[in-house]
Amino acid sequence: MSLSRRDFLRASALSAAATTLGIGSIFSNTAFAGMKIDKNQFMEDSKGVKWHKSVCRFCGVGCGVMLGTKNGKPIGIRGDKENTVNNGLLCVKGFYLNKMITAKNRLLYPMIRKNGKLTRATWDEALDLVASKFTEIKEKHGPDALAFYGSGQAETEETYVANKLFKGHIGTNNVEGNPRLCMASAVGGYVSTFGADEPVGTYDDIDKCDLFFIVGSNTSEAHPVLYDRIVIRKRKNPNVKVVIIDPRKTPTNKIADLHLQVIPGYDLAIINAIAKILIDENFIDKKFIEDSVAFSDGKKKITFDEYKKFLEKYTPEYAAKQCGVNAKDIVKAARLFGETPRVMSMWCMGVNQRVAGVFLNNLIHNLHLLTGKIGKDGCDSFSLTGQPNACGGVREGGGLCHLLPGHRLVAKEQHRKEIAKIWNVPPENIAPKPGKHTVAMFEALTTGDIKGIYILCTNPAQSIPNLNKYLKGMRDSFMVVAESFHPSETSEVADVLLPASFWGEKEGVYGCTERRSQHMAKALPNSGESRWDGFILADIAKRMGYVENFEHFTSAEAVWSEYITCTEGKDMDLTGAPYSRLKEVRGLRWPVPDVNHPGTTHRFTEGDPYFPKDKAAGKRMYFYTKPDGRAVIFARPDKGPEEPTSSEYPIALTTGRILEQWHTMTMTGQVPELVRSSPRPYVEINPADAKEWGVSTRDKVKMITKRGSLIVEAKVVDRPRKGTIFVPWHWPESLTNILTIDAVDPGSKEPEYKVAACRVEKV
Amino acid sequence: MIVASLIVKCDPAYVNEIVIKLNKIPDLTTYGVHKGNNIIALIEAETEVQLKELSRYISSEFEGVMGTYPTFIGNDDVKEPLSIENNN
Repeated sequence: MSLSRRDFLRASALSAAATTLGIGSIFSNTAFAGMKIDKNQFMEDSKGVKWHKSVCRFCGVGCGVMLGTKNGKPIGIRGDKENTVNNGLLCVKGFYLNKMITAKNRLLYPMIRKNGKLTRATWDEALDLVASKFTEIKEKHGPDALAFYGSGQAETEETYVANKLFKGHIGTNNVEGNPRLCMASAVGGYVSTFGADEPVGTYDDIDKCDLFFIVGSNTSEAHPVLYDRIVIRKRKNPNVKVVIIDPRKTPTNKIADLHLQVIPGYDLAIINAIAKILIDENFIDKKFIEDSVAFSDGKKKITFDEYKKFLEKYTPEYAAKQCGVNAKDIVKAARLFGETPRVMSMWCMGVNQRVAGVFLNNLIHNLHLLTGKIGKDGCDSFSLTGQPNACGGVREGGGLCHLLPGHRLVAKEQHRKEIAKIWNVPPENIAPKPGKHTVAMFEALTTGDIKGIYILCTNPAQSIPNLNKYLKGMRDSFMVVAESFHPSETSEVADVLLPASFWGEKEGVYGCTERRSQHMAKALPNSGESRWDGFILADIAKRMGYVENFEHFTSAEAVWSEYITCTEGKDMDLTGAPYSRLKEVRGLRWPVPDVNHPGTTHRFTEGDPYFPKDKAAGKRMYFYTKPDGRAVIFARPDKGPEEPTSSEYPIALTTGRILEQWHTMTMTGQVPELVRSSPRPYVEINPADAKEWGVSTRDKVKMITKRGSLIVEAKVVDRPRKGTIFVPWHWPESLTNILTIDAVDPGSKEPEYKVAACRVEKV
Repeated sequence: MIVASLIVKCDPAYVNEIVIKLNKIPDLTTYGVHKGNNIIALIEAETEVQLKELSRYISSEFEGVMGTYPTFIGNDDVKEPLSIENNN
C-alpha cells in the first residue's frame, strides 16, 4: 500500500503517542492498521531508518531517547520506551535534539585568532599552537598558570582525559567544571552528612512515595519527566501530598497541597523549625537515630540534647517572621512530614545556588535522619541535577579542583598515589593542594595569575555571575574553546576554537541523578572537520610530550575501561559496567562491582554490595563512608543572603529557567524555529509591585543592582511574591548575569545566583 | 506542514472539559482519553513556532492541564511519498 507522506506522518505521530502511553493501536480500523512494529513498539518505515539508543542531552534526569538516522543524517527523535527512567516520555527540549545536530551554527573547522579575527586553520596548526602555548606558559609561569574549565554536559570519558592531562601531567589542579555553579552545594551536603556524594535512593522511590517535599525546584519546567512521575504517583494515590517551599509560584504548584512562598534566601529557619516540631511532637525514629546518626555543630560532635537546645529558638513563629510565611503552614508542613510514612525531599538550584547552600542541604538531610525516612522504599533526600553528566563526569569523574576520579580527594596522599598508579605518573605529579574553584579561576584570569585556559562545552562568558568583572580576563588570557557551536559569548572571545563532535556523532557515557550510568551510541559521522573531545585532548597531550599515557586512547571505550578501574572497590564502583554491558542495558546504578551485579537501589543498607553486615550488626543502615558508620545531623544556624534588600535596592532578584530553553541557549538557540518561538527576555513582576510602579506587561523596565543594569520587558504575573522579581537567564542578548552576585558558599564555592538586591525602574 | 502528536496530561476531574476545549483549537484533533487522564492530540501546524506556542498555551492557560509532552514531530515538505509495508 502507498500513503502520502502526510498520512504516514499522522500515523507515525499517533502510534508514537500510543506507544508512549503503553496502549494498543488507536487507529486499528484505519488504513494504518498492520504497520510494521519493531520490538520497541514503534513504527518502522521500509526505507531503512535506524534507531540508536542514547540519552537526552539536556537536564540531569537521564531520559532514554532513540535517535533515528537515515543515510548518515538525523531524521528524528523518540523517547525510549524500554528505558525505565522515562518510559518513552520526553519533554519539549529533548524532542528537538536531532535539529541541533544539523544546526546552521555548527562549528565545522578549527579557527585561530589572527590580527584580532578568528580565521580558519588546519587541525595541525590549531593543536600545535595550543600545545606550544600551554608548554610555554607552564615553563615560564608554572603549571598553575594553566586551567581547564569543563562541563556537566561533557561525557565522562572526555572529562577523564582532561583530568588526566591537567592534574596528572601538566601538574595543576586548576580543573573545574560548570557543575560548580549548580551542584557543588549538593555535593557538599551529601559529603558532609553521609560521607559520600550522591543520593542514597533512586527514582524508584518516586513511585512509592506518599509525600513529596519540594524545595527550591520548579520540577514541572526544569525536570518535566520526573514531574510527570510525581503526577502519576499522586493521581493513582489520592492521599499522596506535595509540599512546596519556593519564593515563586510555578507550574509545579498545580500539584501542590501546601506552598510556603518564602522570601528569597531565608528558608533555613523553616527547615530548622520543622526539625523542632518533628522532635517536639515525637515524630522521630529513636532507634534509627541511636543506631545510625551522630550530631555536630559543624566544628565538633554534640549530643542530641545539645541539638535540641540549638533548635529552641526555631519556633514556627520565629521562622514565619524570618521567611514571610504563616506559622500555621510551617506546623502543617512539619506534621505532614512526620505523619506520612514515606517522604521524599527533592530540591534543585533554589537550594544549591546560595551562600548557605551546603547548610540548607544539610538541614534537608536532617529531617530524613531524624525520622529515619531514608534508605527504604519511597523515602529519600534526593537532589535533582541540572545537567546530563554533572553526576557522572564531574562529580564521579573528579572534574573539580579538589577531586580525583572515583570520589577521591587531591588532598589525600593515598588517593593521589592510587590515581597516579593508574595514570602511570609519579604521585608527585599530582599537586596536594586543591586548585582554584570556578569563580576564583575566572578571577585569576583577570589578575593574570592564570594565563591560559581550555574551555570545553560550556559558555562562561554568559554563565559566570557578576559578568562584567570577569569578561576582560577572558579576553586577555590565551583561551582555547572546544565547542560544537559558534558563535557563543565565549567562542567569540576565544584565541583558538576547536570544533567538537556533538551528541549523536560520538559514543560515550552519561551518569544521571540517580547514580545511573548509560551508554550513548555513535549514530552519525562527525559534522565537517569536528572531532571527539576525547581525541582532541589526547592529541594535545601527545603534542605536549605525554605520548605514552595517551596513545592507547584510540576509542571512547578505551578511556572508559581505564576510568572504571579508578572506581574499583569504591562506594561508586562501576567495574561491573564495561561498554559490552552498558550497550545492552538501559544503564546501571552504582555501586555495580561485577558484571553480574544488577546495580543498587538503596545505598548503605541491605542490597548495597558494600553494606558491611558485620559492622552494621543488625542496624538497618550503616554509612560506611563515615568512620563511625553514622550520618550526621548538623546544627546549622539560619543565614540570610549575602546581599539583603535595602532602602536603595529594595527588591529581591532571583534567576531561573523556563521550559523551552536551556542554559545559555547554545543548543536550543541554534534551531531557527526555536529561536523565533522563544519569548523575548522578560522579568516577572508581582501585580501588587507592578501597580505600585505603574508597570504593565510589555512595558520596558530597568533592573539595577550594585553590579550593573539591564532593560527587559515586564511580565506582570502572580508568580513571584511581592518584593521579588524573577528573571530567566537564557538569552545571550540580555545577559542576566551582569546583575547577579559572585559571592560563594564558603564550603561549596557555589555562587548565589538565586538572590541579589535590586531596584526596578520603568523606562 | 508540521505534523505532531502530543500527550496532554490532565487532572482527571477536568479531562472532559479539556477535551472539549482542545477540540475547539483549529488543526488540533484529539484521539481519546487513555488511562484516565492522558489525552492524545494530533496537531497539524504550518511551523514549529505555532506548535510550540500551542503547547505552551495548552499548558499554561487550560485549567487542569498538568503537562504537555510531545511524542512525535515530522515535516511533510519532503516530496516523495513514503510507502508503508502492509502486513495485512
